[in-house]
Amino acid sequence: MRIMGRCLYCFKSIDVRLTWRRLFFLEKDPVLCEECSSKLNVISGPICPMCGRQNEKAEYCTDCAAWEKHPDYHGVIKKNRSVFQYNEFMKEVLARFKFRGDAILAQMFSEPFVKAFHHHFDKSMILVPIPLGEERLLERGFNQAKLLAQLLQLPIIEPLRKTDAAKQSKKSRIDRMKTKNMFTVTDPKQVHGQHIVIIDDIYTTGATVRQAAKQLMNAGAKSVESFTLVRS
Amino acid sequence: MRGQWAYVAISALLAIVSATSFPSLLPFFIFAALLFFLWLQHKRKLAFIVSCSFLFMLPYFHWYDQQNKTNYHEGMLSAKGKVISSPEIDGDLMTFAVETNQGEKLTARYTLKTKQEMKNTNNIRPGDICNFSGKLEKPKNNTNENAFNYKRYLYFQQIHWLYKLDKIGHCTYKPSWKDHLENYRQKMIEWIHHKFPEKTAGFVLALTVGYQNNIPEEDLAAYRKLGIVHILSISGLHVSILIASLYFFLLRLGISKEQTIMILICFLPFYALLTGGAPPVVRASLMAALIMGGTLFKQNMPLSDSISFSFLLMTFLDPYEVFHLGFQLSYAVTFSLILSRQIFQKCRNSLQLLAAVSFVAQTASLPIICYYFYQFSLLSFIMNIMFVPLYTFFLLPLTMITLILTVISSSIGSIFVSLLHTSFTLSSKTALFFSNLPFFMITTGKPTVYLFLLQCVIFIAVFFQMEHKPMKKWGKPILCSSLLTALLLIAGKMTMPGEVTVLDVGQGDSIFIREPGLGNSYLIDTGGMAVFEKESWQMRKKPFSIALDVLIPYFQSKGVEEIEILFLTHGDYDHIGESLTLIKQFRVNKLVIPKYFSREELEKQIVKEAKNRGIEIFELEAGDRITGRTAFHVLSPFTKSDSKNNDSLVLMAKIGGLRWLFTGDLEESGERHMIKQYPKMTADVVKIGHHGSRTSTSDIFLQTIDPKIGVISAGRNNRFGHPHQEVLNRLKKQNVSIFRTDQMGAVQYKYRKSQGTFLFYPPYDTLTK
Repeated sequence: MRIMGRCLYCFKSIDVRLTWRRLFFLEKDPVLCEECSSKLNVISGPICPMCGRQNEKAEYCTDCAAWEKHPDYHGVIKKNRSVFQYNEFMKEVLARFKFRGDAILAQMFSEPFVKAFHHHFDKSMILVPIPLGEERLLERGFNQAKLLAQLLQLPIIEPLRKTDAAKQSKKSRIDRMKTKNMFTVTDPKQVHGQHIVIIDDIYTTGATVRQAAKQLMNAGAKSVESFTLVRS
Repeated sequence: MRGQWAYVAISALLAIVSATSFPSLLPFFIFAALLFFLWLQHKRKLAFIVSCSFLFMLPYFHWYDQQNKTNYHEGMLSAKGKVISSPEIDGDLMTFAVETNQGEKLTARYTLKTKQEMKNTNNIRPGDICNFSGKLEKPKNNTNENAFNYKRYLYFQQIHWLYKLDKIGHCTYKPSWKDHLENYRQKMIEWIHHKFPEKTAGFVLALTVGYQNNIPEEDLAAYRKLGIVHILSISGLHVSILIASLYFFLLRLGISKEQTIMILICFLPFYALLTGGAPPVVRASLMAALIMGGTLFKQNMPLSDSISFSFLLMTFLDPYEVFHLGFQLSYAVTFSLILSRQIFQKCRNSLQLLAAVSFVAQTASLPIICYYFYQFSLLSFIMNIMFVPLYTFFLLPLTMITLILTVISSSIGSIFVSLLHTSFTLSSKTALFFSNLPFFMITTGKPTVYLFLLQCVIFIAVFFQMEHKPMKKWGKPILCSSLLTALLLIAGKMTMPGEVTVLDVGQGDSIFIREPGLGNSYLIDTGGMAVFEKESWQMRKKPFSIALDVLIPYFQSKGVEEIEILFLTHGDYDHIGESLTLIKQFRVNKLVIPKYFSREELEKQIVKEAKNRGIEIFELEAGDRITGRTAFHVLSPFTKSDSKNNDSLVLMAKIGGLRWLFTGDLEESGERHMIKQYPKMTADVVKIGHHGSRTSTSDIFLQTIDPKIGVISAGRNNRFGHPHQEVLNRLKKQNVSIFRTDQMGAVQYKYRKSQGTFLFYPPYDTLTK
């Protein structure tokens, strides 16, 4: 639900005071109140060049070092970039967004999400949102990854299908690294020779995007990168 | 709609500007662009309201302007009228506003004949209904380019006539509540005068009742030059401090918050009137009332909305307000400060905040300052950082405390009075010192509308950057914008056309020549007014001076910082009378005088002063020439005669494709001598000798020179009857077009390369033949 002049998340009234940039339409009217937007932590400063996690130095984090040693997943994604850090607030927001179906909350990420995408990726890329299992999609009514991808207003293809129904978020990291690939490519022609950016809501261990990337590469994609809303 | 009312106010402003600048559609296009952007942003409702505001204001202003008409005619008028403003007495001139029984406002002027009369007329006050008789005269337009337009100034106050009174008859006192308030204000003024030393009283009056006229002219000029004159008027800041202190004082007394707000809202209009009703005070009072009123209804009104509402209200009540300098500065600066909230949030301590506020205020006011005053001081930023806190946190509170203590007991107050006196004297001395540092004044010239807008765009871009970037990165945008502004300034000067302007200096001569672009400027004679002996009570506080009030502002409006050559044709007062003032107050590089120039005290004084100032002096005679981009040939004098006029320096120059002959006051015999020496000489334009006196401009001279245009520089209704009818007849006989400064105002030839046009600045809208 959206009420004009009120915060998308907490419904308190938003600071509508004019500034120079707002007067000249260089800044859109905010959708969040100052309090809520201050709780969103945008990733900034040095990051891991592989997974985009905020880091002390701009070098590979331990997770990525482990992934790159893995024989199956070595080099399947060129890089991952994310917009926000994971925190308590983000946990609540994502819960409301995904599990309680408040789809309009996607708008609260719109501006930083679009801005970060263009900062890290090229406009010529093709977007592939991570699909939901069929059952889950029916249950939820929308695919959050696709909603996020649509914010970018770039061509979207959906060549992936998810076979395994078990929720990733209930498994441990070791489980995830071991599990059989749960994606299949339904239409390899769409993928062949393309530069692809996988879109997802959250990058936790990197298993999901890597599995998807692996299949896409096998189907003939030129390169695969990924872009997620949150890096936990 | 919250936070968006600024667009509504802006569109109302654009409507008024569209209506007044009609053939130019620029403001209309700006409005269309605004609408387009609102549409793009899907702000349909706002776009609708903004359109309504524009479409209402446009015809409303037109209607308002149509109502601004007079029912009177030029000539004698005896009428019953009410005095509606306190008389201002300056020397022997008394001025006040009258509302006649037909409901029309007039500016009444009365020349006091005796000192006794001055004392008696002091009794005239607002609320008096008197029988007046006198003569209605039309106020004049500016007769020199870029000069103050008195007619327009009065028009915006809905005044169409100067009422020169012969007699003020019997008066009866029937005051309205407003008159009572105004008279009360006058009593306060008199009381403050009585209690404070003269110089300090001026400052106290300015800070408490908004009455600036008693501040010594010298101090006011220094403050103006440094860009800090705003601290001497009651500003929005004063109003907010006053309201805040009253608010907490009333709460302390145990009055409830709601009641306190009600009391303050009722008090504000009286305060605005008591302080003279200047636009900044009205603006600040309205804003305060709106914000406080909002809290009564649990509405938290953003500042940008309250300033917009106050703007809409003020322009609805009187759309002419937008042409008032104080109104423009007050709104431009306050609005900029409100929008710069995010800039100020980046400041970490009060010094940084002070600097940032000062920077935003200075930057926002700069285009307006340049437009009206043609120059600004590079020191004004630092001066504001120094003087604004000094006045706000020290002098203003001290003034208030002193005032209150003096009301309670003169003896306790007197200690504070002397402290206040010392403080004001010191601060004035400081201001005077800085204002006299010559290097820091930048003369910009009057910017064209496009330059003005470009300057605004640059400044807004700086605000964007400062708002967006951390303070560490402010240096680059500020530096860039300063460079761009400097470039704009130079570009503005480079694109200026050249001109030859026979200025209107009343009875006398002063001709300004400026080469196109960044070229040199020359001045032939300075004009000068005959001064009649006056008793000390009759003297004006600031007597009119051609050099200070006409010439120098004119040069500055043209972006001219120095006169390359000052030519003085001969020693008559109406030609050289202002020379001393001019060379003392303005940079002159060279002085050219005819041989045999120094005959009397004045000439000797001028030469001496020029020598002292290191001005190169050249004594020239017929046959000499001055080379350069503009070459001047000297055609006279030849030998010394016993007439100053006949020994005038006569100059010939080719400027803008025309041959100009400047004859000074050369008489018939001098003319004959000259054409004997230069029998083949012709000219396109002749500055007719001796203001059109019959003793110059002989038939034979005109036949030889064969000019197309004759320019006569003479004063309106001068006592010599210049130009004489004989001369006009001789010119007509030779088919010479006559341009007269007494009828047409300044006669100006503007040119680029060898093409140009003549322009005039007539005092009245229709030329009377």
